[in-house]
Amino acid sequence: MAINLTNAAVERINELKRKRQTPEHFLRLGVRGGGCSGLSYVLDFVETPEPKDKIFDLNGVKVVVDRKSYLFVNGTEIDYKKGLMKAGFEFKNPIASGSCSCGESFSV
Amino acid sequence: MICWKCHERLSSLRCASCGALVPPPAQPELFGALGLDRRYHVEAEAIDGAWRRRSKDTHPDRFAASSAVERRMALQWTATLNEARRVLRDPVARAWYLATGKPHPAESGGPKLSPEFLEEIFELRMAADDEPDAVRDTAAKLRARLDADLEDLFSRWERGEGDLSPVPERLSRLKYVDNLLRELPA
Amino acid sequence: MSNIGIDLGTTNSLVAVVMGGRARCLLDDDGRAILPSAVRYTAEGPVVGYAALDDAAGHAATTLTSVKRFMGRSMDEARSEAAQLHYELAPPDDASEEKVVRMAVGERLVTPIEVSAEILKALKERAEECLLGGVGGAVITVPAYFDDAQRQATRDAGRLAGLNVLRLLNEPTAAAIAYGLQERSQGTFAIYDLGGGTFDISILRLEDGVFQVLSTAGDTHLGGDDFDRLIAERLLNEAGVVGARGGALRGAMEAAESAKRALTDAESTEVVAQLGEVSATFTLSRDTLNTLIRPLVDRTLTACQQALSDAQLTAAQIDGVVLVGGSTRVPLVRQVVEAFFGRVPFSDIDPDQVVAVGAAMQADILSGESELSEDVLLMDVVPLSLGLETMGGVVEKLIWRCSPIPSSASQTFTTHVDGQTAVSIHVVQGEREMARDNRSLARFKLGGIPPMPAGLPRVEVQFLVDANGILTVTATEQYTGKQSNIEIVPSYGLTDEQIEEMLESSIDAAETDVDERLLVEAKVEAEQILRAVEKALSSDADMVQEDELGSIQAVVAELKSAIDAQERKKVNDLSKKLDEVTAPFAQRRIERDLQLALRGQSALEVADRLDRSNV
Repeated sequence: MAINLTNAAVERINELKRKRQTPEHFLRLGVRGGGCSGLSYVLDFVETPEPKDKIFDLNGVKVVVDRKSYLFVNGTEIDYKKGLMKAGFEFKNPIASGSCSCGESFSV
Repeated sequence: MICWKCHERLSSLRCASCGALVPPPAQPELFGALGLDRRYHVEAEAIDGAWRRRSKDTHPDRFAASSAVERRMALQWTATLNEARRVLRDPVARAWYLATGKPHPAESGGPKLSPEFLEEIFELRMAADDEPDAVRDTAAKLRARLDADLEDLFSRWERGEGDLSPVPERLSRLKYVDNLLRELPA
Repeated sequence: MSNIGIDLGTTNSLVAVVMGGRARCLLDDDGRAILPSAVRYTAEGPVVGYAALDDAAGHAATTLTSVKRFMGRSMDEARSEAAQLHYELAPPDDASEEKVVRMAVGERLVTPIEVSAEILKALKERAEECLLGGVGGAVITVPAYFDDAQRQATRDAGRLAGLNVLRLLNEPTAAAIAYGLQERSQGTFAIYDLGGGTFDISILRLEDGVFQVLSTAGDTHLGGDDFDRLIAERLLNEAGVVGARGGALRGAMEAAESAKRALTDAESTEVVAQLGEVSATFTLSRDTLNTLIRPLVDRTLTACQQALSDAQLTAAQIDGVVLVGGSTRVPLVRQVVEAFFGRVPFSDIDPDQVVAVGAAMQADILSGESELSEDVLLMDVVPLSLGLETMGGVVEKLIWRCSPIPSSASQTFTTHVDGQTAVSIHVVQGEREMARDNRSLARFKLGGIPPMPAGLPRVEVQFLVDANGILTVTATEQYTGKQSNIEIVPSYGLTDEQIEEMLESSIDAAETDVDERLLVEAKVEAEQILRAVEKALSSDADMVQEDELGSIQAVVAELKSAIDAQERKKVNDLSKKLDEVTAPFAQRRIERDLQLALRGQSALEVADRLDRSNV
């Protein structure tokens, strides 16, 4: 298992890095408590990974995950969907027992 | 002093432990605001240094993320520090402030001056056009005497001798002499 | 959450953020940092930036540009300015409307504050997109010479755009920060800012960590657009076109601009201009360009000389020169500035972006979590003295120009008639002796003074200029200690109530559209949570404590009835509440699942194991 980015997600992340003028930054994927189903995903850009982070290269996107979060996000697929109502990243987690409609939080 | 917010002991205006600012005094004493002793003899550099140190603790930019009350305190404090620096850097304003609590003579015009002194100034003014050099000479001597007099009053006061009650009268005289000197033809 | 820096310019605006210790401008979909300060009002709503300028000629009446020129101005002051622009000012209905410029776009009237808010909103949205962590507060830059009314108007535009405005920062100060000049112990700097339509020169002194604007000068109608106009005139001349208008003029202006850009690097360039029906090819050399624009560039030097003499300095006493504004890319401008000040100007940072970059750095420092040096303090100064109108219309100055801000002053007022209960005060800003020659800021009416014999009440009024250069006034009656009420009537601009109304009406309008959608979203979300909770309760009933079960079930019931009743706020509140009451239960389940997976090992040990097995 690992983390997956759909093509749409890769494109979107690269677009955001271009707009931010931070091509060298890493995408940080993490998990924190709270959200409607207990845990929620957090995305952010960071300049440098922490020493114990796990680093992935997914279709050219450098992704870092701290080790605790990795327990929960391992196997997650990140997609980007652009709809009429809202556009955003969506997360699919095979080990999540429930996920909420916003796709940003889940429980195991 | 103890921090109002977290009750830690304070070593500066801003609590090292929780970042809260000491509430600004309602009627600030300008020397105290800068953390300086009430003395006439103070170097401009000492005032600037104190102002710099304290402003770095109090400036509203340091409280951009704090509550409205703390931002207001920061604003008030910094305005007070700016006022203190402006007044105390000016030796005449500083002298007035030490003697009267105000950086300038009271609105009613300040202390009464002796008729002899006013007469002397009047005569010097009359003579200014004919003998500007002689008048300048006399006025400069008058000024030097007033300076020495004030210097003596403040030095003794700083040693704990005498008081500052004669100061306003000397400062008023100084102003007359300075105006005269300024208006003399070059 | 990151704080953002915004350069809200007359011609162009930008937004920048410090990321990874470095300030960077945020780009649009097409990779451009610049957002033209243009808003077009269409039936579908406002369109901002390049999109507003596309075919602007076809929508001249509804496309607003250069509104910064009208910020904080009255109708009267705006009229001569508006004559030079293509849009129409709405005639005021009554005297109170004289205080604010209103522009007619189609059916509606808009103020410069609202138009600026649209520009700020577009920049805010760009930042929200790029910052996954969200937008915190904003620093917005203003020209150093902006008076109180203009600063108020800028801050109000920020509020209307939904920004938390942390600080208004002087543009030249922002440019100086971008170059890190504040890290020097002291120095005197010239900030030369030649934009599309305005020229500003500011002399700054840095001393004791205080940036002080010593003087400013400039020309509010001189910029790169004037260069283009001269080149276009020449192209039309060569083509033998007389009295060009419409398409021909636009074609010539476009060709002129691209020729000017090409000549930044090339000695000579060839451009094809579409002059209405005909197209023509021109060759332009840099020498010719230089000859054309020389008189305009010399005008900037006259202003530089003015600023230097106002500051009682000579060019040789300047320790550094900073170039700001896209038009400083023109080689002749650089040469002339370098020769005038006798030193090579700073130009490493893109001159279009330098103000936004400085604003972003200041915004980052204001977060209190900056990697940038926080040891330096930026204290701007009061740009123009503040004073009161006294007997005979003479001004009594209270706060002198160039005082570091925040700055305060107080003044005691009394009554002239027995039993008088109110005093009016007229506050003006400017350097002139007579009140009528200065800019009127506001009239204050101190009310609620206890009736006493004339001259007895002592009302102490405190004037406080905050770090943004904006004045607030408070008053206390000395004997009764009673806070007097102050009625403020600003001489220009909008009252606080008007701003509040605008905010509310914009929210109202948005609400009707969004209300339904939000309800649907809330219901979907709530139902999802309900399903998850019910599933968990049935599968792990053994892990719920009895009293816990009771409160969970109570919230579940409440939430269900709120969904049926279509009450959005209740649905949201209860969803949140359900999340809270189930949190300990969820936590126990997560821990149990983990425990099962880890067989008693710590999370980090498992992480290590995963490290070895998976990667």
